Amino acid sequence: MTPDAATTDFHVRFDAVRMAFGERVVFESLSTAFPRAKISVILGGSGSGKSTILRLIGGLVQPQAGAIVVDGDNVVGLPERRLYDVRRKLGMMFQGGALLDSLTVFDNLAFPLREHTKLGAAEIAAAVEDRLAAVGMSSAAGLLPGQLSGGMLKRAALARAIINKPSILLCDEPFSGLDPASTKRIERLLIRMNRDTGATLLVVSHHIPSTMRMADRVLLLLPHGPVAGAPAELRASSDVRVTSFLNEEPDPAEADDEVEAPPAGRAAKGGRW
Amino acid sequence: MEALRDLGYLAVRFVDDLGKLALFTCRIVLALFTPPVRAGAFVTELFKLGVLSLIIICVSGMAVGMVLGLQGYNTLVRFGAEQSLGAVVGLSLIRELGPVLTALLATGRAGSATAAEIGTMVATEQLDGLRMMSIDPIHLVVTPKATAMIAVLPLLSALFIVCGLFGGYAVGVGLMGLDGGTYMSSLQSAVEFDKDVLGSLLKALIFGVLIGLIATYRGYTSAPTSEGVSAATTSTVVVASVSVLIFDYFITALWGV
Repeated sequence: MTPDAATTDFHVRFDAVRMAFGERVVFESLSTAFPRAKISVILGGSGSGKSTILRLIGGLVQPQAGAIVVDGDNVVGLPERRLYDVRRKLGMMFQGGALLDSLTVFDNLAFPLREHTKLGAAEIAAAVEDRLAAVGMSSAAGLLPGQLSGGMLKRAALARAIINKPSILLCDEPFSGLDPASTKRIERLLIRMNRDTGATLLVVSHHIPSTMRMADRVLLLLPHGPVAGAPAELRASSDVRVTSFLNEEPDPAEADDEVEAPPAGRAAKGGRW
Repeated sequence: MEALRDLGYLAVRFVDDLGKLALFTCRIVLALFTPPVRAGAFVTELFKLGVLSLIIICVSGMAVGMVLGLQGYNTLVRFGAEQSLGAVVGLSLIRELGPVLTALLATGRAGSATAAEIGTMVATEQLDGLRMMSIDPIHLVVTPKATAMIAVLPLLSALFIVCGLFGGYAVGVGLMGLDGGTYMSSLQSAVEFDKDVLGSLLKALIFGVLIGLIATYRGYTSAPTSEGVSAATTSTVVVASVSVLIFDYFITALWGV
């Protein structure tokens, strides 16, 4: 199911990456790749290392072994100064937003443009308003991050991530905490961005319906190892753990670990177990 | 044997921390000479660390000066030397109490706030957000805070001393009936500008470096949890206060300031 390395142009590649936080090993030897100009979605249970993949790509954490090639540069062991050059090609939407809480939404979006471009105030304002309109946040430009709801925070974070038109966009849980209409809006925005700009999108998500609609490729992190392929391929998989995950059912391997049912007497009395 | 092992572990951790703090300091110094100049952020920090500390510094300075005036007068009068009150209050404040108490107050108010602010930025991934935008958090966040602390502490210490001198004058002259001219001439003849005043400012500057570095380092290296922020804040107050007192002894012993 893994795409053919000889025929596919990969924008991001992991080669035998070992990642552990202290005693806890997240990846023993992860090798995978994300095709250029496509939408790749990373699925997996809690603690499976989905967000860690994005942080590894951004060089925010360093693996113990292996190579991570981002647009031709191996970011493993790269000095911080060189990492900044690589990161200019990246945009990252953090799960919690990560907006600067002392700045308004407008200033949060304008900030990277003021830092890295020579655009004038009017051009910056136009770019910010354009991105805010794209995520349906035009009316929230003057608010501080602390005044936003969870969903608005995510949309503002996405707007900031795309303000510099990155060639690789990393999105950590863009749909969590959003109402259905906002979920659709963000989904459409991501697809449009991919189509219009040719950006490579790596999306970490728990939202299976959106994933299946938008993904060109899915990387599913399961306890016995990663499985990758197109959504249709995964749907047709004979691996029961893959289909269980996609059908949002408990992993059959974990069924034995479930808590036994409470004794009949206690249940009959209506007591809480 | 276990105690020896623990001691060894603590020693290694201390040396490791010291090395990391040295590297952190190098990064701040490097950031100072790397464009763009963060003048706006520096001025904002001057306001937060300096202007917002004015009331606590003035009130504390006044109170300490008044106590010194009272205690000094009651002691000196036993020896018939109450005309030296200005010298006692002045030298105590300028050489010792001014810089040290200002440093301890600044640690409690501004140092802990600095550590908590940076620690919260770590916990909410704001610093990672900056890194992903290719903006060095040391350059944007840490350096203005650390340098503002260094710049502001001598000024706060000077203000503390002036308030203290006024407090001593108010008690000695206003309450105890000492002659105002005697108080001022005793103060003027005892205090040497080069040795006492400049030495005092130098002491405050060194304390500013200590507090600025410790507060920003503790915040920057805090664990990304609410517990981590709280630990960073507490350890800033403890480590900075103890460091100020230890350095105070060595500065006094070595340079006679």
